[in-house]
Amino acid sequence: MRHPLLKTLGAACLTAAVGFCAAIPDATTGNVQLKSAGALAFGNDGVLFIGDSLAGSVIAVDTRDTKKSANAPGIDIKGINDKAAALLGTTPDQILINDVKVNPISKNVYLSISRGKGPDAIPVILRIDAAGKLSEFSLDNVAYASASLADAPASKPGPRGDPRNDAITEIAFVNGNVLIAGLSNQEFASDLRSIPFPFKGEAASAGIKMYHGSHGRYETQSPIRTFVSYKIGNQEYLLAAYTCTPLVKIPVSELKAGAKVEGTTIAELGAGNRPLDLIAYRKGNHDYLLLANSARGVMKLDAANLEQYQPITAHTEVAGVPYTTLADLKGVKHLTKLDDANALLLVDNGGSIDLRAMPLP
Amino acid sequence: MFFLATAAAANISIQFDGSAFRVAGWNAGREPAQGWASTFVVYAGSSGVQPMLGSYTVENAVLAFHPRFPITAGVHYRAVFKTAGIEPVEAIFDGPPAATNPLTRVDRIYPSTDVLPSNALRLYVYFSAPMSRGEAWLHIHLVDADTNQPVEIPFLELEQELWDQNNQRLTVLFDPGRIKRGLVPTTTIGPAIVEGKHYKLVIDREWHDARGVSLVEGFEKSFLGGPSDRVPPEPRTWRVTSPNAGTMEPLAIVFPKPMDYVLLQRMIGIFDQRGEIAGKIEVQRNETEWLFTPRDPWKPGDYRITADNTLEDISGNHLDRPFDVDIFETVTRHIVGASTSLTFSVR
Repeated sequence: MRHPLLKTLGAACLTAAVGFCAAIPDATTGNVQLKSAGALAFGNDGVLFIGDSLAGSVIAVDTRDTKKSANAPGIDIKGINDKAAALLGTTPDQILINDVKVNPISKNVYLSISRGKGPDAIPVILRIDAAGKLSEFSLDNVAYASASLADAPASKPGPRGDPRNDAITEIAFVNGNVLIAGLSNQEFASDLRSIPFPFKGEAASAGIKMYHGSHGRYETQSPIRTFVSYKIGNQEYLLAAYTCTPLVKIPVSELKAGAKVEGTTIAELGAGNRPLDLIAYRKGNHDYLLLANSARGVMKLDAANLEQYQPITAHTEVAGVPYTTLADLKGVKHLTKLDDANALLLVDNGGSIDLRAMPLP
Repeated sequence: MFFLATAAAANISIQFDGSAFRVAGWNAGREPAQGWASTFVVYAGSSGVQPMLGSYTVENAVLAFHPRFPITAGVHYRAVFKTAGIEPVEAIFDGPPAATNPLTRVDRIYPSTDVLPSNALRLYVYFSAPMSRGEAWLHIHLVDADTNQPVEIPFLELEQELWDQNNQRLTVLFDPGRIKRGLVPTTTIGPAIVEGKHYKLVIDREWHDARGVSLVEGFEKSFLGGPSDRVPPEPRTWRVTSPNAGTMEPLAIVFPKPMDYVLLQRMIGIFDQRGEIAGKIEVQRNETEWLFTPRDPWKPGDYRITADNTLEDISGNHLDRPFDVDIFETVTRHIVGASTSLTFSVR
């Protein structure tokens, strides 16, 4: 949801338009050199955020893809990995689709892809238009800005051993901040960063240490698997899902650099499961969450009155916010919102990777 | 390498020199209104729907297509030229042959000890050559050696696998989300490793290296589940053996328990009055011994060993904090700052 203040600023920009009003203030214009293309998120005005885990940075790119489309096309592309391989001149087994997001303005679909799987893999952003046609979204000669996550000396090459890599697992744009969930390949640093956008200089925000209580007693440093921003009452929260599958709410106002934040568990959705993607939507005046999982299918959660759920403190496997499981949805790898009425799914259908729209249940 | 395909239309052929595709025997004039792609395209693989990305040049009236991405092993390329008045010309070329000879092995795995605490946090798998991403969770398994049954999702199966820059070392985390202290194990799956049980870490031969070829052989590491460890490492218990002045003897630090192999390469430094001194680090004896050989012979004097407080043991306990904190337990240690220091003298 757009922040009212940003909306005002956007309108002011339009009236003052003399060619200087860019979606990214103080952007650099040139060629973006990605080392990897991972998690994606859209901000306002067609700005695409790309997580580059290997470079330890998040890049904001002005896609200039701002032609409004109210409704998304009925996407149904079978073998998207075959089609991407054909376009990129390689074999389908050398295509990794790392994330899928939809530009909320144009409803065009963006995929972050690794062409190749080895250390020389080439990062590519592909775009799918209303006609289902794939094209490369070129990162040459674009307006962009980047924020480095390499605030710790540990993540820079030094005389004492190889640098740390921080894998960026999820990005979201919430209330003018870019939220980045990450995990290190060396010392255990599972944190969430909140970086104000537009990015200011090279300095990145310090990580926020995330915990969720287990029975009010133990602090668990389990990494966030997926999250979505969601308004409960008048307050903006992150709803975050963890392995085995607690759903935790965290007030966005507490996400300040260097803070230690404890979330409140409002649902336990079952063991032996990894949550993959979480979206929030409204249908028929009712709020829902849709959670794609590794083992427990896609869950539809009733998001009404989330403020009423008490923190879960008892021994329990499945409790809290009520949900139903959409049993016929299997092999979902990514789930994102296509428009107000549809979700977009990336599904592994017995080796064929399919991209298809689905009416929000 | 030079490939040549004979054209159906007289005198027109498509040539491929290993990087660009050219239409020989045809005089390329002005670019058609719909672009060169309406005349000459190259498809990768069997799909004929969307041609490969690339750009066109005309040099000496010869039209050439330059693929956007490198020519790839194992790909069939189909080039199609068509223009008004002549039969379409089609030619098929192969990329370089794909490698098939297995060369890559699992080199070693850390922790190297054969007793892992039940709250062990991570493994490092080192390969002898760069590997492919995207297959790790298919090919690495934890097996209960007593029952020969796989342990259910023991690892934090991140889609973004945690490789080093060269794809030769994979970091595997035991999923900390499984360990919910205080929960009754009948309703959750509990920790992946149980004290007293035997396990095998199994790596399949079918895992592909960066060339797309399987490993030379699979790999197994057997270990016993040990007690959990929630005690932060205590530098005061580290045994330091000072070297003699004028020698290149290593300084030795012996830890009472195994420490994280990769962090030991980076998080301990030796300082004299002027700053950090250069030298070589070795880690031995199941990661309980850290050896530092200076670049120049030791000079007499006082030295400082500095360890980052984020240095971890193999259960993820930092110098200043256990991995997970029982907030009801009395906090007995307060470490302020980013590092902890010990001193030694060289005589």
